[in-house]
Amino acid sequence: MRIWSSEHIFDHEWETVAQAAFRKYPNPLNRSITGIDVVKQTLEAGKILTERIIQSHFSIPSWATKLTGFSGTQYSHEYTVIDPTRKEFSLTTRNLNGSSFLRVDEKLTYTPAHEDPNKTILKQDVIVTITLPAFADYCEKTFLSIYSQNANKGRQGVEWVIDHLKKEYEAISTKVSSEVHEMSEKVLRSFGTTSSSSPKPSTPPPPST
Amino acid sequence: MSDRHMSSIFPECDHLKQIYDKCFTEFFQKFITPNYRHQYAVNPCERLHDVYKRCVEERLATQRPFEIDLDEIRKEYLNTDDDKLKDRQNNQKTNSENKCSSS
Repeated sequence: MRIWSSEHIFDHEWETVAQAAFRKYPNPLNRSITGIDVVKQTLEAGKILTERIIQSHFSIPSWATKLTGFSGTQYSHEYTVIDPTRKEFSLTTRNLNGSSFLRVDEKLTYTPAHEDPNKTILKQDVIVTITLPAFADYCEKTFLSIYSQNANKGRQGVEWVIDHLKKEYEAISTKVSSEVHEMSEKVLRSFGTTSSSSPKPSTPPPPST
Repeated sequence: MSDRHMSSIFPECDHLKQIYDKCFTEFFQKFITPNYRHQYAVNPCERLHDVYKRCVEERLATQRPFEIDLDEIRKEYLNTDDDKLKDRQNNQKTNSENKCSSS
């Protein structure tokens, strides 16, 4: 069993990072993710609880496939808790298949930096356990080496989403302004119509016989 | 960004997923803002999720892309003592707070 830890600081406030982390995929910086399904999503006491199944595909050497039966398609279970009141975003992930020989537990948390509320700290821990005695040490080292490289790409992936969210927000602002403008036009047009109409003359009641 | 979409694992469920994702993403953008009243919020897309989830669960049961039962996973480590990383992160938080208070 080996543990690997990492800490990273984003130069963005927590709300921005949380949105980006929540919508991290699809992402050109990690194309191995091939499918995601939300199997549970509930709101409890102001928090969003989400369970997802994530499908990834990796190229692995054929000797490893023969040894383990693992084809390279990986499924993981991800559990996230988003608490905007406390500004906490936590992700816990575990692999679903291949667990007879490889067990990976990963936990990430995003919280505001104490010193600067405009920055966000990401803490990342992973435990990897391989139960092939002859290969355990080598495989665990290799796995964590690859994992730490991918973790860095993961953080760049979050930055990529933040940049795109900004562009989307600009587009939304433009749309909102346009809609307000259209509504104003309708109101003014309606007012004009009302003022231009002349009251109809009332018909005198028919004389009684 | 509105056209970004992560496909379902099962192509047959992807259309339902797109509908649900679009709904929930719009809700999430409001929910995440500081002035939103989080305490009493409910998922406005719950009915869409029910339909989509049923599609996924049927295929998980029939196609069985992996052998582990989800309920077993939930029992095994979510919010239990077996969550090794949970204690570790809590300890780190304590250490972090100590460092901040001492400075």
